[in-house]
Amino acid sequence: MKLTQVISVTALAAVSLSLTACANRGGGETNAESFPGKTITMIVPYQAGGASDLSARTLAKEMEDTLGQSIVVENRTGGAGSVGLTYLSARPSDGYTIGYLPVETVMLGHQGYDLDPAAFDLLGQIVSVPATIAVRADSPYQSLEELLAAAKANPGSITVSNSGAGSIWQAATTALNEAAGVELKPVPFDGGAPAVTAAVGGQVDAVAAGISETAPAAADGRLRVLAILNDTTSEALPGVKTAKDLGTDVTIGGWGAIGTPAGLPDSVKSTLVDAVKKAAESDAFTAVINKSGNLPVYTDPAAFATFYNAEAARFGTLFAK
Amino acid sequence: MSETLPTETGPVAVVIPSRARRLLGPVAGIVAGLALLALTLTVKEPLIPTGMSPRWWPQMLGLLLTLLSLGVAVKEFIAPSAADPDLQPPTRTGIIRVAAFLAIIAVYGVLWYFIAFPVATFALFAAMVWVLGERGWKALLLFPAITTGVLYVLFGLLLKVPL
Amino acid sequence: MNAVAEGLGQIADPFVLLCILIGSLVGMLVGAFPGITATMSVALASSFTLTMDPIPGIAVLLTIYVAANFGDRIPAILVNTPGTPASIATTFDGYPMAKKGLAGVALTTSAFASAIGTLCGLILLVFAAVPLAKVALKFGPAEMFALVVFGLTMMVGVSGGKIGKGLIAGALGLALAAVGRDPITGTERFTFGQIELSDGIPFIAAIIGLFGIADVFDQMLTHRPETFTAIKNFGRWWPNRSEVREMVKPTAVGVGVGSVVGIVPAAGGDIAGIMSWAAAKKVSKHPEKFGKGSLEGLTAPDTASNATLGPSVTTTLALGIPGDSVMAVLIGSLIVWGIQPGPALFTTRPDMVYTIAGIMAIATILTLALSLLRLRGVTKLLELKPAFLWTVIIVFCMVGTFAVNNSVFDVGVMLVFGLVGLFLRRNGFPAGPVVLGLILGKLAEGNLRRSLEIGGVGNILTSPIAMTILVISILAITLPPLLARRRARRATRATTTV
Repeated sequence: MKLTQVISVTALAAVSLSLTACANRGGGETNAESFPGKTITMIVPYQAGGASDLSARTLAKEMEDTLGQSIVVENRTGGAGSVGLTYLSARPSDGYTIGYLPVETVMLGHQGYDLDPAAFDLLGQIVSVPATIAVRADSPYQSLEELLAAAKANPGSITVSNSGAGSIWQAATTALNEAAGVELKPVPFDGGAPAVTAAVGGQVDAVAAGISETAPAAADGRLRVLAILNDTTSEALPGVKTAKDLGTDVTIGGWGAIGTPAGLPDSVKSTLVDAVKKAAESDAFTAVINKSGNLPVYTDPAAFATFYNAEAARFGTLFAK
Repeated sequence: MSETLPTETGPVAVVIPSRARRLLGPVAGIVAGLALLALTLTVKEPLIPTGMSPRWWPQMLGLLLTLLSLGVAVKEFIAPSAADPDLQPPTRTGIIRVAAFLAIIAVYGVLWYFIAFPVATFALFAAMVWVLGERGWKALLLFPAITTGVLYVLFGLLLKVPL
Repeated sequence: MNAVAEGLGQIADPFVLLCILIGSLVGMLVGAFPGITATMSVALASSFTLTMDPIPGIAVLLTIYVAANFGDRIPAILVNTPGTPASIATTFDGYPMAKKGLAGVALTTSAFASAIGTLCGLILLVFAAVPLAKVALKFGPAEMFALVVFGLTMMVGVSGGKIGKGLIAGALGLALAAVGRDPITGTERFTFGQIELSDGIPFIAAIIGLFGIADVFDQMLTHRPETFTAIKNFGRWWPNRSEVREMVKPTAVGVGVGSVVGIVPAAGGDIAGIMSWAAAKKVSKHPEKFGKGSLEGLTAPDTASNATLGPSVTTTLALGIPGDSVMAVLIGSLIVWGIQPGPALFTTRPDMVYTIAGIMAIATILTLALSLLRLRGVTKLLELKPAFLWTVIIVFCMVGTFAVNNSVFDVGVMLVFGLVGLFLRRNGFPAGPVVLGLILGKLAEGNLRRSLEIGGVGNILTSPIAMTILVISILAITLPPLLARRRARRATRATTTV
């Protein structure tokens, strides 16, 4: 008797609800003239409160002013960012869903995740996070040269912490190894802060981390940054040279860009590209990014696409080894 | 479930678990342990060998789980433990209730995808209390409306969760 | 002393006090909601507070942090569902107390224990921040591994008398923690191709399933209208004098355990609560009452998990390393406000330390007052007929769990763990060890293998801290049975000589 009740309830619920299903929220044909005509969603593949989220939210606030529509930031976390990125790539490409693309967008596909960098249209780069290599303040290694010489003399004996297995900072250690022909031993930790702590506490010999993580510790004398793995030096690290200047040609680091699912109509794209450019170059945005220790770097979609594809290819060869 | 299942209307009997009933838990533990050991073989070894294989830790745990379960199973076989007095036996209505809830939730999960959250959730609440035997407009309309409203305001409007 | 006056002076602004009030209300509400954690609400609030001035902004965020740790006890006590992971151990004795008709005393006791814990933790922040932070820096992978092993020795304690089955449950928890990408090599393990599983089993979804949902399913399964008596009577609200005296020892245990765990980076209120519960049981005169509605068993974890807040802030401010996940979010905001956490903060901005401690102290006292007021209304929840109560718990848990990651997958995990929890419960396996295993599993494997990567077995053997903790762990397991045997022998000798 109870069973029939159950069946009838579910049937009733299903029927009554499918009636309302016609009021579906999917139907969004894009009218280029009036774009944007409603709220835009920005997908961030990482947790609220983190560095990526901060960049994305600050940019979204500035873009709102240009577009005259509100932008809701939606955090979809998990799988090193692949959950959010996969979700973004599957959204309709009408301009109403945009997303924050981190460097992992071109890395994850080579690490066993089902993610294709070509699944996105690029709207421009907004931020850059050069990699740095640092040792604790009282470390015997005074320069990058000394650290690399020690690694060459005793392959595998110099430990370098990073934020996690398969992270960009682990890749940075590998890239440095390749460029210098040495064997530094990467030790993955559970996040950037523990990795830096391990170097400060002396549990590892050095740390490979983003500039925003090592610069504050260097400023109050806990860490000595040996090199920036970037083309240019940074104001945040006075007196620290690039690895290239120090004789090891390696450039690697994190970056953040804004993208949409592939197949965006041109007219919508130009509106969004303009909004991203204006926001990324605004004082409010650059001030926040500078304070967080990263570099506000705007690159237009065409130039960024070249870099993006080069990065995708580079990580392919880097991880194959 | 257990052979000593009391009738629904009868007084709550003291359950003396049968041997099969007592061994169900430990045997499930052995199965889980062996399954884990088998599954570790599907874990790919990394191309660059590190100090320890990714299989090592789960294999240890699989072995531990199997041995511990085996130990408890043997102990239950030799010296049966008394029934837990806090553990009441299930009723037949109870089993139907749980099964019905799971079915309703499954339907809800599918519906949520297609229709607006408030509508789906209202129906979910109504269906659930209906299954539990509640009738009347207060239970089927007022209660779902209030609870759905609270959820929608808190999550949809205040926390901006994409419901 | 000038810095003290300056620091506290910054709080004596009506707007800041208003921010504390708002933070307190928001924090209690989100804390009480299963699924939404303090981390999540602070993260969401930080996107609003960034536009504010630093002091009011910090006031909102820190108050949410403090208040969420009060609010989360309410569902833990009333419906066996931890509002945030920090109140897992509150369910061990709080819920049995409520079932015995002592919900009122349980809620009041819990609120006071939480407040005392928080305030004690703050004293550490103010007076011992710099030396404590130096200790935190000594905790590398080897030391963390040793600490986790010590945590695992608590497995027997939380097994509730069923040691064999408790250990099986613990091994199951550890095994479940192995799901996801390998912490060292990044190899996929047991994910069955689900990207949602590559970061491991969603922890919050799993504990809500194991505790709240499993309990509701169990009630639905065994409910008999003719024998059912609703908890209409919340009993007294205030503990009597002997009960207050009973609280002294577990409070001390809680403060001790909470302080130590709080200082260690990456270990938070959930671990502190469970460890303190097991420790208080060990030193209690009535260990047999633990898990069956013991006031001591309620006081210890609540004091401990709240005592971690002050030390977590200490680690964060003095080292610039997040002491727990909420602090990781907070650091981002602080930096944007131009406050760089790190050793320099204590010399360049000593007033900031007092401001932060002051905000947290006011927040604690205000939240305590609010919780004593609000609790009376909250217990009305239990007067709902079971049909409504069950429905509300299940659906609210579902929506709360969804909100954590905006993920339907997590809701599915919660329901699956509800059924797993039901199976465990019906077969006499305690849920406590499963959760302990889930929490500690990743830390155990990751830190063990990390320290072996760094320096082989020698990395652990040469660390005095790690070795001390490991020796204590071995003693914690072997000593009690040895002592018991000796006592038994002495007792038989005594009877034979008489």
